[in-house]
Amino acid sequence: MSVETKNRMTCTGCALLCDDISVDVQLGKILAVHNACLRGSKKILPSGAKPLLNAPLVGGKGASFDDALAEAARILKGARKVVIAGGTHVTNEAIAGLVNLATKIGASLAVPDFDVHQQLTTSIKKNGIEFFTLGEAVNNADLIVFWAANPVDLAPKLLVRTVFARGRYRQSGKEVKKLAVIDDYPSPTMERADIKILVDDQNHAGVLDSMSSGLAGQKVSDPLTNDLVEAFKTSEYCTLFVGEGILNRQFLHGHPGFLDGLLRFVRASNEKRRVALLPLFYSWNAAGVLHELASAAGNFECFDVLDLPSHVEDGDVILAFGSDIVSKCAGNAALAASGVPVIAVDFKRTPTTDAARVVLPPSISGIESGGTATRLDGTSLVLRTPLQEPDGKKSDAEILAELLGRA
Amino acid sequence: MGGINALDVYKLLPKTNCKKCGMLCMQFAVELLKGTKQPEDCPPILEPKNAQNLEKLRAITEPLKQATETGIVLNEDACDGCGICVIACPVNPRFSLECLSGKAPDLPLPKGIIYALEDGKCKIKSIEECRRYTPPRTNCRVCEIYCPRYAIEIKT
Repeated sequence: MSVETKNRMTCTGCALLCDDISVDVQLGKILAVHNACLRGSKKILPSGAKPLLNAPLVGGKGASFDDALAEAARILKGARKVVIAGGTHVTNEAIAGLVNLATKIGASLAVPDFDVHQQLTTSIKKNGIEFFTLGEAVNNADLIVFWAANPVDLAPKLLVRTVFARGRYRQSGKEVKKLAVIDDYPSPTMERADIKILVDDQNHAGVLDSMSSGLAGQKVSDPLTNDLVEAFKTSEYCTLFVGEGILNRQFLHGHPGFLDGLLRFVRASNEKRRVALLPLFYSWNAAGVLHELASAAGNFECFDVLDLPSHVEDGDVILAFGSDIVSKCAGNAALAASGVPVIAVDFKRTPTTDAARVVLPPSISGIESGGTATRLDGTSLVLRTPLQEPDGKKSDAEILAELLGRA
Repeated sequence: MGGINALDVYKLLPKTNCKKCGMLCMQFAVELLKGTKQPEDCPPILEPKNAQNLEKLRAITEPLKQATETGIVLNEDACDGCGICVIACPVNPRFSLECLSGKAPDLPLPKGIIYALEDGKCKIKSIEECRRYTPPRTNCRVCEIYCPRYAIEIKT
């Protein structure tokens, strides 16, 4: 049978959700992936290193979907409290289902990076924010700053989709766009930047102060920071990506005023030129969780997935949805080993599925089943999939709908 | 020699705009980089006071004369498929408009595309369209300059 090439598929390798992927398919198997980065290709290509789960498990033994769902519903009904963990690796429809389930059964949600999201939200409420879309970075930006962000490793095609793309008002692409990187270490992203600022001892606040005073007309002693200040002054539109180096709970707890200062700086800079900020979270639907939680009308408890052990007691049940909670922290592993029942919904074998009492493997979102997801800039995209959903498998949203009906 | 442009060459010329070579100095600099003119085609640069600049110009243009192929060496092991070479390459957008907006071309690849990504690695598809290959050859090094993994090296 001939090889069929499918164009414009969506990659769920990272939050960039590239929609220009081409895939060669023969007899329902993926033979080659074109236009995706290494990270995306590894997600899409079948590989022996990624053991996939093909059938549900109950107590470590194979079972039918119906039996596994019935057992999962029985465990959920008998629970004192249910904690739903995950949400960043499932479709928007599944996230909406998670929120519905949490509202219906009074469950708590444990979301990755929720601590950071909460601090960001508080800071945004206090100081306001100017967001931007990737389209604006392509068409309008002439200065693109990555602050403690290393997309070359974590979202490899982000530079191509912003700095190197030629836009409506920036038709020469990189020739008219300046790339500046501020980071604690010489990251690969910094390698080819026009302005490179290495921060000592996580003193990001010092760099921010220097930039603020430089833009206010004072002299900046560090020549590199001075270069960045000059680039700010001459730019028409600056887009600022803020990354994992400062968007982590250790840094934010250690530097409590930094986020407020950064947002105030962005707002103040907007008086003379357009400056906008975008926080970078790399899980492929991290932005979807944020949007769904922000618009959820349900009343339920929400906390960071790292704090799971302190929120779970005897009699509680954990529903790990598309998230390997056991690998997240040692506390979670101990929790799973202590006998707290875990229901895992994941298409691949992980330490969490190994410890789970019931495993429900969904079809792989973005490859076997569609739906929608939210790109890192908040744009919702339809997932275009190269393969058809295998017979007998259910998507993450369908599994959740069944659980919702039975619980 | 990486990153030399016409302005760098122009700075080494006498900048008299005398037109003894048939053109203005800036245009002559561009032609030098293309390989269609030689430093000796500029009479004022042969004057003794410009001897040092003449040597520097020869050092720049000599490798171009010798280059019969592009000299591009691609280290696939180092490549992580970021696609910067695909989009930054000035030739690729000529054959695929998608490259202008930062997206990769659909398959089948348009004829003439130089760089493309396959299974997460960069591949050279049609080297004969490279600006370093087809006459008038230019000393284009865009792919080498911007590759964050140093996976592309131009050995000329």
